[in-house]
Amino acid sequence: MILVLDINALVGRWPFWRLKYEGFKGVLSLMDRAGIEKAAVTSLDSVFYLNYQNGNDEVAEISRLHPERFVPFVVVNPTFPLWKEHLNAYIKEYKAAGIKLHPDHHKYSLSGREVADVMKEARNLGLPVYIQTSIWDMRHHPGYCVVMETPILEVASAIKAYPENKIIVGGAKHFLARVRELIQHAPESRNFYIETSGLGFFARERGSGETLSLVNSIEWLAEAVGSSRLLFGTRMPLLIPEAGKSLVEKSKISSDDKERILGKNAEELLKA
Amino acid sequence: MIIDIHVHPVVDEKAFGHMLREAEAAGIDKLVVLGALQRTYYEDEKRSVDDENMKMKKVMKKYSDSVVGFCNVGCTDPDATSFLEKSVREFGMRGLGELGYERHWDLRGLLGCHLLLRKAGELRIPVVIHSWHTEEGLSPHLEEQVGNQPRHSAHVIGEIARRCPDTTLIFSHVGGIWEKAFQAAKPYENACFDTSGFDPLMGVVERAVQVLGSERVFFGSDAPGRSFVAQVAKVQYADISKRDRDMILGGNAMGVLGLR
Repeated sequence: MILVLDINALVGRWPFWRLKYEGFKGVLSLMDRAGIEKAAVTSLDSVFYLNYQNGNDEVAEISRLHPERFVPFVVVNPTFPLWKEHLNAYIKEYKAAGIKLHPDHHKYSLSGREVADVMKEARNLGLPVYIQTSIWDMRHHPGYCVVMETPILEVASAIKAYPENKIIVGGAKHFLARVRELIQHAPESRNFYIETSGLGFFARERGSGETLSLVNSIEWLAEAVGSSRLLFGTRMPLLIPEAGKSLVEKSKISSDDKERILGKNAEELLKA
Repeated sequence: MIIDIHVHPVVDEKAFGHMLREAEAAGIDKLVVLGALQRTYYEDEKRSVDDENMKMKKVMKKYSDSVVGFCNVGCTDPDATSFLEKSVREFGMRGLGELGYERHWDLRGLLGCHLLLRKAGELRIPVVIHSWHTEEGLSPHLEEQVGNQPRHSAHVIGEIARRCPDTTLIFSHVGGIWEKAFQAAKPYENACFDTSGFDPLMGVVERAVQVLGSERVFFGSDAPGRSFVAQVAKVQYADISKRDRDMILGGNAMGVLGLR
C-alpha cells in the first residue's frame, strides 16, 4: 500500500462560509474518507486572525494529539514583530517540518528583506518553504475582501534568488497557467516543487484559438519538470480532497510516478 | 447517465477524440459541446454561424452517442433570432450558448438580448450563459485583475430570468459568487446554474441544492480548460442525496435536452 501524504491541509476557521469539515476532526474524517494517511497542516487562523501565531498554536496542539496523522508546518508572517523568535520556539518545541508563507494576505513582497531573512532561517533549520500565492480563486472573493494573488514572477525570482532553499509553490486561480509561466521563467531551477491542488487540463492552441491538443496537467508536469518535483496537495477542507487525488490517480503516468507524487516525494522532502 | 452541460469545442479532430476518451475515463457519458465563441462573428462575416453549425453537425454525426451540439450567435446581432432558429431547425442544435464572451460585452448586452432568449424558449431549448458576476466597489484595476472576463451584476440573473419566464437559463460557474447569484435567481424557476469552471470547492453544490433545489443545478466541467475528473468530483462527493446527485449529474440535462 502506498503512502498518501497531503502537503496542504488546513485546519482553523474559514471566514466566508461554514465549512462542514472545519477543524481537525473534520479534516481527519475527510482524510479517512479520501484514503489520505498523513497531512502537512497549517491553520486558516494564521491567514485571517490579527495574530497569525494563534493558528500555529492550534496546529501544534493537533499535531501533538495526532502525530501519526498530522505533520505540522509553521506559518511565518515576516512583517510581524518577533517572528523569528516565534519560529524558533515553535520548531524547538513542536518540530515543525516546514514553513509556510502567505505573502498575498500578509502583504509583503517575496523580493524584500523580510523574505531573505525567512529563507536564511529556513536554510539554517533545514526546512522547506511553502509559498501559497493565493488560497482561493480571486474571482470568488467578495468585494469587501479582495486579496490579490502573489505574482508568479515574484515566485520565479525568489526561486532563482534562493537556490539553496527548497520551495513548494501552491496557488489558486488558473494555477496551471501560473505554473507554466513559472517554468518558463525559472527553467534551470531545480529547487522548487509544485503542489497539485487546483491543477486541471489545458488546451494547446494555435494562434487562431483552435485547440491542437488537450493536455493533462499532471502528465505534462511529470514530463516537463519530472514527477519527483510534484507534491500531492488538497487544500481540504476548502476543496474536495477526492478531486485532487483522482486527478493524480487517473493520470496516465507510471505507478511509480503516482507513488512519488501522492506521498513519496513529500516524505523524502520532509525527512531531508 | 452523466451529462456534462459545459464543454467548449475542440476543432482538431485528434484532440476532440482525446477529450472524449478523458470524459469516458471520468465516467461521463455525454458531452454538451457549446458553440464556438462568437467573438469571431464581429470580425468576420455572419456566415461564420453556418460554418460553425456545419462543423458541429459533423461532430454530432460522428459521435452521435456521446455529443450534443449547441449553437452560438452574436447576442447583439440583429439577425440573431433567425440564426438561432435556423441552427435548431436545420442543423439540429439542442441549445444556445455559451453566451457572454462577445467583445464589448457588458451588462446591457445580457439585458438587451431578451428577444433572443425568448426565442430559445419558443424553440424549447436551454441557454447557457457565462456568468461571473461583478462585485461592487472594485476599482477598474482590481476588476481587471480579478476577472478579466465579461462580468455582470448578480441582479441581472434575476432580471433576465424574469423577462424570459419560458426559457431555461443555465448560468455558468454558479454565477461566480454563488451566494448572491443563488439569491438573485431564487424567485425564478427558469434560472438554473451549472457547476463548471472553478476549483472543487466544498459545500457549493450542497448550497445550490439547499437554496434552489437539485432540479435547477447541472453538472458542467468547462473542459478542455478544466479536468473532467476534478470537476465531476464536485457533484460525486457532495453531501447530497442520491436522487439529487442523479438529477444534477444527468437527469436534469436529459430533461432540458429532450433525451428522455
